[in-house]
Amino acid sequence: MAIIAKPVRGDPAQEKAWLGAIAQGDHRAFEALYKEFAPRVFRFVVRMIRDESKAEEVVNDVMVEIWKNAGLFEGRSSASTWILSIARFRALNAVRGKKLDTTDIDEATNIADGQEGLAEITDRYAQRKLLKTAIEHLSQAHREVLELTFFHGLNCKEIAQIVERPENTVKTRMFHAKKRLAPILEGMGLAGAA
Amino acid sequence: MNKDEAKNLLPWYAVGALEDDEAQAVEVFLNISPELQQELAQLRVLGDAVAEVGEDEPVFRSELINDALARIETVEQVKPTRTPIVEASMKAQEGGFIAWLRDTLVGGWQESPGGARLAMVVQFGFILALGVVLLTPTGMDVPPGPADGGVLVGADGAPGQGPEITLSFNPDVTVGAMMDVINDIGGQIVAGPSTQGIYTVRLTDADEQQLNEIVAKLREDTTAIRFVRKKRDN
Repeated sequence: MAIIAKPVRGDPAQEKAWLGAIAQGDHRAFEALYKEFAPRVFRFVVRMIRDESKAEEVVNDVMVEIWKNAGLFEGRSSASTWILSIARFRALNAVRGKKLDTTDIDEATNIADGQEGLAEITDRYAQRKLLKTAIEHLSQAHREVLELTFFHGLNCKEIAQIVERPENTVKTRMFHAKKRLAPILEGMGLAGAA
Repeated sequence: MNKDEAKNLLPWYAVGALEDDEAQAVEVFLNISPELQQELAQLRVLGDAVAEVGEDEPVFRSELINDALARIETVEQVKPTRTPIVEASMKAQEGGFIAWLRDTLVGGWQESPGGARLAMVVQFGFILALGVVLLTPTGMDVPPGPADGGVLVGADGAPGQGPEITLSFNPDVTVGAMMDVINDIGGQIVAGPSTQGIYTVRLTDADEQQLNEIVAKLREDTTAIRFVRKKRDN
């Protein structure tokens, strides 16, 4: 079976090597890691807090924290997990007291349900657009699991570490996210059992 | 693993994030279950859609790296705790050098014929003798002065008081042009360049308003200046 999708995950061994070098004050390793991770961290954070300029601040705060604490990274998790955990913590702190974009998950279904004659939308582009809109209207917690899986290419255990929830919770969130999106996917001719 | 467990793991199978044994177990069910095959087809579309969702969103500005590089200059790193990662990194560096030394000296020596080995010993002795002669003091000191080899070097701990800025120059800026910029603002290099080419420049006796005007002026000079900012501890 072919592996599908196209997560951005890089080379885990290289990423750990960068962190090891950064711990010893290697600026070039920091630059390399920054170029690899800053855009990923930015996407993750901006999708959480919906504030571009604050997200930029968070990214650099995260990268400086990596520089400072790389010597504490023990390699028991992947570099991606460690870095995105820091990013999530920083992002939540940045918007402390402000309600995150946590649209009720039912809205995703409403978007699907609200499309009269969904099954009749045969235009591929329109279907795709509808699916993306529905993903954006999932709750932050459900969207986060989709994002960390399909964009960042992380496994269930890594996601559980980042969101600080048990693995089963991650699986449950994935299940519900798929279930909410199922009507749209089925409308695209992809009947399934989500 | 049963079929339901395989189904639960399918999203992570889809992105290649499962361990080999888990992936193989999922494939066992995938090969015999049309339902799971259908689910995988859905995940393919879903995965692509998730990746595309951010395409309309703001893009990260790569120039922000300059700010991060300036900030790490002022941050004290937590000392490495000899974690496995640090150990591996140190060994890789040591191992690389030792391997190179071994390959260069021992490997080359063993592969060389007897006559060549003798010639190498004579050459080594000659280089050693030359080094001794050149390094022996002759009473002539090199006069102190500004570096003239294309590198602008700061004098750490230069006297005087005033606010400080950090700045770096574009790669094609000459030493003379750098000096012109620093002289124009009445500055004095007190540290640098760092490994990133960042200088710390003291603006002797400048007040806050003058400091702001100088920083604003330097920011306009994009042909020479890569970035400039006030030091945090001013």
